[in-house]
Amino acid sequence: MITARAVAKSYLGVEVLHDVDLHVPAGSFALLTGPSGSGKTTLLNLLAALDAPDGGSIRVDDTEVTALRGRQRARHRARHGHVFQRSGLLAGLTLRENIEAAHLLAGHPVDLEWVDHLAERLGVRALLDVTASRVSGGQGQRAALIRSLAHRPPLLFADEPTASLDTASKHTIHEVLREVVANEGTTVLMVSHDAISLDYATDVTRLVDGGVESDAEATGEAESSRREAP
Amino acid sequence: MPPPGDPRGRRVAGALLAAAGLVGVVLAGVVLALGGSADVLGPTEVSPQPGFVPGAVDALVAIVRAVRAVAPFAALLGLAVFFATWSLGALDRRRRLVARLARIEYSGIDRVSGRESPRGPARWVRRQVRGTGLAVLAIVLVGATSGIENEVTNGPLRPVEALTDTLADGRPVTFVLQGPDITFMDDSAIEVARMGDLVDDAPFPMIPFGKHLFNLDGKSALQLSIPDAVFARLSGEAVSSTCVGRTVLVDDTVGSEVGETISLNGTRLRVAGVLDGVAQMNRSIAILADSTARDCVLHGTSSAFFGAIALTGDRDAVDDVLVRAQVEASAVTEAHFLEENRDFWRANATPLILQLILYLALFSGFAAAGERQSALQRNIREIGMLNATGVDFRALQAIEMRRALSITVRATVIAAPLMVPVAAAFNASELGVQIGVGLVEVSVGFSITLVAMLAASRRALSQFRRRLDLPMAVKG
Repeated sequence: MITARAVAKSYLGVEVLHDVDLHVPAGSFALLTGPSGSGKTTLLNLLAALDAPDGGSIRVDDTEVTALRGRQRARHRARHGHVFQRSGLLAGLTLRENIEAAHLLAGHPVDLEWVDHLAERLGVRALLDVTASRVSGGQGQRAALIRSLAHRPPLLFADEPTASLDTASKHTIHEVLREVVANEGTTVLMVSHDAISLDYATDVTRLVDGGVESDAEATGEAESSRREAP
Repeated sequence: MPPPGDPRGRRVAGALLAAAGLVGVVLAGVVLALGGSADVLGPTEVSPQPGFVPGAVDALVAIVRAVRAVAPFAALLGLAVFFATWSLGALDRRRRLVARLARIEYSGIDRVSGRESPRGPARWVRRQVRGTGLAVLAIVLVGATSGIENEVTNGPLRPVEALTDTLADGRPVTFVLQGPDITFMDDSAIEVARMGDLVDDAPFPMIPFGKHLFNLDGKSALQLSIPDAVFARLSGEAVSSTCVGRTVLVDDTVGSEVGETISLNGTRLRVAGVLDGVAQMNRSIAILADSTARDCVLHGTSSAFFGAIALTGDRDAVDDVLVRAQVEASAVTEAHFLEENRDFWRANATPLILQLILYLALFSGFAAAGERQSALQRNIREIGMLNATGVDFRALQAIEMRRALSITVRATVIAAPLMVPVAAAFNASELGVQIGVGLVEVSVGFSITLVAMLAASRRALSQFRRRLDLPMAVKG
């Protein structure tokens, strides 16, 4: 469960987020959406402890994230899953080594059967022993998703993980995420302005100009986006 | 000046350091080539009190010797850690992964040029030149120069020891020298007539000898002259009465064989014997009979002797002779003479060598720090991604430490055989000091480079951590 209260953030004097309140219930597939420059990624980075807010409070379960420093923040991040627009795989390692690397280095066990299951589900099992530099961007992104889920995290932060993928791949990734929410109880918080995401999300929060749009506006916008979706 | 973390600042600092190192090396080379007496760096003037050795020099000499004493153990420990972690990697996936990450570039992309790194041998060579290449250079330079200090101190004393050994045939000797300056470098002299009185009055054999600087087949040469009778005994030949066909004893750095004809200050002389390892710093050595020196080389300009060797260890007896002959000279034991000379060289030449070592060590350390920092910056996205997914900097530190150790071990394997031709080239330059390459020198190079690489990696990662902007690093 994530609870954010009055979160604010500025960069170089420009206010990116102001007075953001957000509640993401445990076990939900939450979507952060909104136009470009609305502050979606900034908010996700703050919630995922990649960055620190200028003001406000962020609680993830019982942890006040804004109070964490240095290694505590890294440990906090290690408990959760993170997937970004870019796979960020290490080119010299195989996909399997990439999936294991962060968890082994952070001292977390990796469930290899679970990894194989996810790889099978995402269609990259045959590529697990191939060097990351030799796979396509889409295959790498699927491996990055497996990396983020390999330790069965209670919470997954995803920042437009399907932005550069084809429609079929987008659906596959969304389906896997929905299964993880349903079967593993994982909470997923995803930033996306992809209309497909609306079909899978259980909670939608829309940001506009660094603030949260009201629920009624968000619902209307969501419906509108859904109708426009191909 | 740009801040230290700024890439331009690093380049400027690196360039300044490289320039300073180069200037230092050139100056030290020049000074050594001049016999360590040029007033270029530090206290290089001939000391008025030869016994005086600055405390700082003693401390630096002690440090160099301590490093040489400790280095083999440190190198052994470093190798043990390397092989232990390598072996444990077979049992432990985390260790294996750390070792693997320490071997590869995180990204495989050269972000400086924006191109993908080359593959195969080209990639290997490029990687070696970046990290290992630097370490190879450091090991060769630091390791080889660590062996010089002893040579600087003791090298110049070899001709004196060789001379006394040759003339006295192992018997104890006492030196008789004019004035208070009793180093082999001063220009004291005892007049020929006075020396004659001394030799006549002494109840023990006295062998006067001269000291002159001349050119020997294009090389700076220290020429010693000894009485004809002594020379005849040493060479096994009678000294000729005409200059043509006269003989000379030379040290092996001249590169001549017995029977060859050589030129000493324009005079052709025949080599009657070759002495081993008696070259004085930057100078070959030639021993002539007095008459040869006077009639053929000096052309009668010599009117004094540098000193005399009394074939007795009884210094009081020599003092009595000096008083009786009314010669104002000093009688010093061989041990005292050698000790004074050693102090002289330590005071005048050792600081230069220590500066050279210091320059090289600093250069290596800073270059390594710059190289590691640059490597981390090139991989900011991948390292940022690892950190974003929960890998803390302690784990990254372990990877970088392991990388530093691996680089140093690899570099040592390459540098150790390289040190042989480097030492040979240095020795062929006949600066007067010899580099000996052995396990101690290799281990000094290994240990200092390892410390520099570890410190550099630690510093680079610490700076990287401060500058890392995680949201930017993971941004698409």
